[in-house]
Amino acid sequence: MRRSFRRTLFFAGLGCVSWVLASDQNRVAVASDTPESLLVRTLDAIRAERLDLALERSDSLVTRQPNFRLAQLVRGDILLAQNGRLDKFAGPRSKDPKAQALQDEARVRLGRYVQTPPKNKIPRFLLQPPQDASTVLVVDSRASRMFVFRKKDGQWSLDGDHYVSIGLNGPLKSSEGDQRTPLGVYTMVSRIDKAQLDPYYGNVAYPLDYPNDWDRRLGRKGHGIWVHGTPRDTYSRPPRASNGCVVLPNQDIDTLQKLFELGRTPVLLADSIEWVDPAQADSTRQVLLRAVRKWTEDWSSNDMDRYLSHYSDDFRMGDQDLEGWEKDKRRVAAGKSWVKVAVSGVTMLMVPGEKDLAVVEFDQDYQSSNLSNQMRKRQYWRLEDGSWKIVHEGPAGKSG
Amino acid sequence: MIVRQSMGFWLGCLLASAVSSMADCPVALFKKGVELAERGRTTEALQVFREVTAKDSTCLEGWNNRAALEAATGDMFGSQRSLSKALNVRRDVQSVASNLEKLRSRMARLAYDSAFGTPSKLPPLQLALHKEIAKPSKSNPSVDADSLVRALSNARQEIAELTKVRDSLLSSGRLAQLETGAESARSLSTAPPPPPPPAKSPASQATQTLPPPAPPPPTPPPPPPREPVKERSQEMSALETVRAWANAWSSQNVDAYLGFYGSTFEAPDRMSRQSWEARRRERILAPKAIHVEVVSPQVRSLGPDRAEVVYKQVYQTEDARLVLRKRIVLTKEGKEWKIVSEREAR
Repeated sequence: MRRSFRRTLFFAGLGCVSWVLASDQNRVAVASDTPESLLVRTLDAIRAERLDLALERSDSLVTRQPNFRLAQLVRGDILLAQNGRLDKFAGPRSKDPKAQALQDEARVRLGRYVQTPPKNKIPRFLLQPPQDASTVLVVDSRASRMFVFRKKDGQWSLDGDHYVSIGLNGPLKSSEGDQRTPLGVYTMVSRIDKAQLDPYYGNVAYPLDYPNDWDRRLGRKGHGIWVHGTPRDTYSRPPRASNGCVVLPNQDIDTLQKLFELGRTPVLLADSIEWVDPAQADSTRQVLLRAVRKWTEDWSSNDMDRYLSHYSDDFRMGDQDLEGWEKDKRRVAAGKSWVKVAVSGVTMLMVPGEKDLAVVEFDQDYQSSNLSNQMRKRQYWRLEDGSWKIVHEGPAGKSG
Repeated sequence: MIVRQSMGFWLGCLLASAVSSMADCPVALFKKGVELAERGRTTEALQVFREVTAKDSTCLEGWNNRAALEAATGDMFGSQRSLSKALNVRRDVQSVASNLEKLRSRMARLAYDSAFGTPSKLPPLQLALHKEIAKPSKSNPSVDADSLVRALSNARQEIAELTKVRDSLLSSGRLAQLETGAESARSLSTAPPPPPPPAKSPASQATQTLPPPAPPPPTPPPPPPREPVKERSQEMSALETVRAWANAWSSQNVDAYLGFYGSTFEAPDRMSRQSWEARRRERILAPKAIHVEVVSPQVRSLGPDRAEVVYKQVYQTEDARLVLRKRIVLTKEGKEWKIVSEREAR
């Protein structure tokens, strides 16, 4: 028995469960009774050198969730370890390319329980989500986790998190077929239910608006990035397995979909999450909001120097660069005796995968001596040398 | 009077031991299971070993064989449970340990197949069967139920003899002499001429463990010179029959249930056999589910081919629960025990 324990720990030490040895102080706190928590408890029993208990837990796990592949692998390892015949992760199947993927799944799933999301903190991205949204989804690609934020009493707080798979080649999609998951701020543009869906995509799929205007500006190509479920014979897929989609276990997407609001729920795809105090996010929010207000004031002054001072040298709109656009603007402004601009319904989110870039949307009410219009506008603001500048501008909701 | 009291006490002890010792590995049933398994009748064999382990949860060989058959039918979890039950009885049995190792390897294989999505067609897992029940170890002498039942029936004969002796003593006015224990014992033990018991017979072992009765008991009665295995199988299958009958009832398998009744069974209330069967069918099929449990059965031989089983019957359906003491009399028809009388026991 002694020998088999050591062998088990050897398999644990191969990287899958290296935390097991390192984290004696880190009591694994598993509250809910999910397949994942059962898996974690199984591995916790391995750590405690209780193979019998580990097997018992693994029995109940695979009975309940027979299509949970990682759970099956761990079970195989436990059984062989009990026979004293396990020398490495996935034992006789260790050379199977899928073994590495499952080992990665083990690592990220366990990582979540060793390093729990910080309490009372939010991702730095959440400056001012849409007023009418009740939910914000933030995917941490490195942790293979989707964090669900809900608004309670006007405050955004973490409401739960779920294991997700992303693109085979990781985050930062840039070209068609690169099997990467985009980084950025997206929204769900439609819903495809099971009846219309290839079984491969599970119970439901939500196409995202990749590529959005920022992606296009950067020349990113590709399409068909969805949030979807898993095939019936697969509880969860390895952390990096999709063609770029965000894949949730069916039972997770089933419970989450009542929170999904098309065109409203922001889906932030990030490589990793920086967790900050809500106060810190709020101070960034206030600075950026002041900059937006100043921009409307300066535009309303019809003083083109003041107005154009808000635009970055890097500014572009469509095919126009700053120089061409500036010429147009000055010409238009010269024909007006007055301009009045008001904005409302402002949303502000930091863009994942970018340094100090925020996407800002608002309803713009533009009136002038010879023209007035109302539109929903989207701008990208970047912090340059301590001040926020507009780097991109266009109508909102025309990205898909 | 004393004779009667002392015999009653002794009889009680015997009865109690006989009942408690019913929890031994039922040899006949076990052999039947092995035979079925060897003939490839896996499902039936499994059922038999389920019964064996239900009767005696300390029957290591029974658990092992049950596990082997569960593995053969693909019930890996069941097999795993049964093997660990076997190892709970004794840890150091090499064949059981090696079965467990084989089972784990197979389960690991299946788990990896699921993990990697590469299902493979595997032949049913074959675990080693135990053909025999090992002799009970000296440290844990098991009481042989059937020997006790035999002893009991001999004791009854003896009581009859003793009663005769007592009556003759009474009539001859020698009661006073009888009341001095030692003498009475001596004189009584000589009264019936039982053949001397074999030195190491299970019955004599068992009786040695009984508490000594206040008045000196007569010497333990010897088993009659019968072939023990045959006797045992007869006795065990009467109880087995009752359990199987209760199982058929519980599973609402009316045909099987009715099949347990002998040709001479008398239907209650002077009903014809046919209308009784029709009524039983209706009654058994009416509830959504029935659970019949045979609790603390006592088996008594009423002769070579006749036995009585008295037990507490717990009958439960979704809306009724009925607990009765029942007495079932069975007779041998060919090789099988059949129910000839079924009524509430007083």
